[in-house]
Amino acid sequence: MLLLAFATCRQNVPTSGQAPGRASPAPAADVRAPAAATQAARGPLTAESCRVATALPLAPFVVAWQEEDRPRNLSLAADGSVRQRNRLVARVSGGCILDPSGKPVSLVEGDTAFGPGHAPIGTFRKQPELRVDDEAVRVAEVLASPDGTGTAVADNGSVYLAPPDAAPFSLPGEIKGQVARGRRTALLLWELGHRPAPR
Amino acid sequence: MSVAAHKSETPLPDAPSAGALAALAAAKAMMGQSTPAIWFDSWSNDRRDNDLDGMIDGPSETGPSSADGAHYGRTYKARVAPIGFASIDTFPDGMLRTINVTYKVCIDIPIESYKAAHIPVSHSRWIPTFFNELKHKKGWRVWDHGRRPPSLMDGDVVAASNAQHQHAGIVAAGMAYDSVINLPGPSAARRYGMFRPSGLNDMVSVPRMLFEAVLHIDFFARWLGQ
Repeated sequence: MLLLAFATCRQNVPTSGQAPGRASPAPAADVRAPAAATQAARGPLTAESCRVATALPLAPFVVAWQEEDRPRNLSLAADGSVRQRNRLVARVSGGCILDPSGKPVSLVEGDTAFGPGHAPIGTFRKQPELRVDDEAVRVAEVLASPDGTGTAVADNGSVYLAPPDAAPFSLPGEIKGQVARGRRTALLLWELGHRPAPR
Repeated sequence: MSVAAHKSETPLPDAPSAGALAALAAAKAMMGQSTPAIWFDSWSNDRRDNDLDGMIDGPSETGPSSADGAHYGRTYKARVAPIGFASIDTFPDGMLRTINVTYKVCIDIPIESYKAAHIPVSHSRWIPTFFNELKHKKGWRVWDHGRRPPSLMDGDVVAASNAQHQHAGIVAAGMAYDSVINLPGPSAARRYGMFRPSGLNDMVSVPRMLFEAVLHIDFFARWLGQ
């Protein structure tokens, strides 16, 4: 009981200089604000945060893209393993993507996606379709990055970028498989695949 | 009889269509363009300071937001040295000039060329999808899975799409040899000594035999419509 009380107490410790007992400010309308605030308040991604988060949907698919003229891909199997050139590079587990050593590298909490260090990657926003070249493309939702740029995948696997100040356009890549069943996972893997390799 | 079999029996015209010639003319015009400059969209390894933060290929030019092809459709500012083959860190600041740049990937050249010619074309920038969509567009003929047209014609779109390479270009037929107008990435351009970090256009025209020998050609597409 004491432990529980301590844990509850710790959760209520204010951050960012907020006076004890003062009510939290109302959430801002801008989707970027909560994520940025969360970043300062949280530590690294943990196994516990993966466990309590809603499990990422699993569906077998291949995320493919180009780096100059070199094709790249990540494939997700039904058991959650993520492979690149037959090598295990990640695993989808609970609400997280883990690296091969089991360390969380991506997490979705609610509608917010986080990367290493709990840094916000973006927010999943419902958006039935994008207008691309005067055609409606069904995408269901968009992963909006902190700068407002949206990334989305269509039911047919085409991937789109929607900048805040320009018309959406197709990206050189695709997500082949049952995208509609695992859209969030697919977009997280797309993001993961484009991260710079650790130096 | 399947649609594909029926299509393969349709005799091919012995000259390129007006639309294909117009698309090729658009590609040639693009290759001569310098304002805005045309650079391959590969911010992380192009020896350029794409985001003007004072660093060449710096950390802000890597990652998902700087992925290849993510800077399409807008005009950016960039700084260049007075010599095309030089990068900006080899000249004093006062000798650099600021230019306007558009960023593209290889498949954008055929797409934009056919759009400029008012020909219905796939807008997909993923090469396999681009050709698969052309198969279903009226007026286009696509050869793949080892099939190829008897000869190449002006305006044909060709592409490598295999485990090693994905690269596309547009054909300019010649008396002695055919060429492929294309936009190589900085790595390929460096490999052949063609890369110019301060150049105003990354597009090149290479003999088709060289294109095919290095990359292979897995897709051919021809506009046969009116």
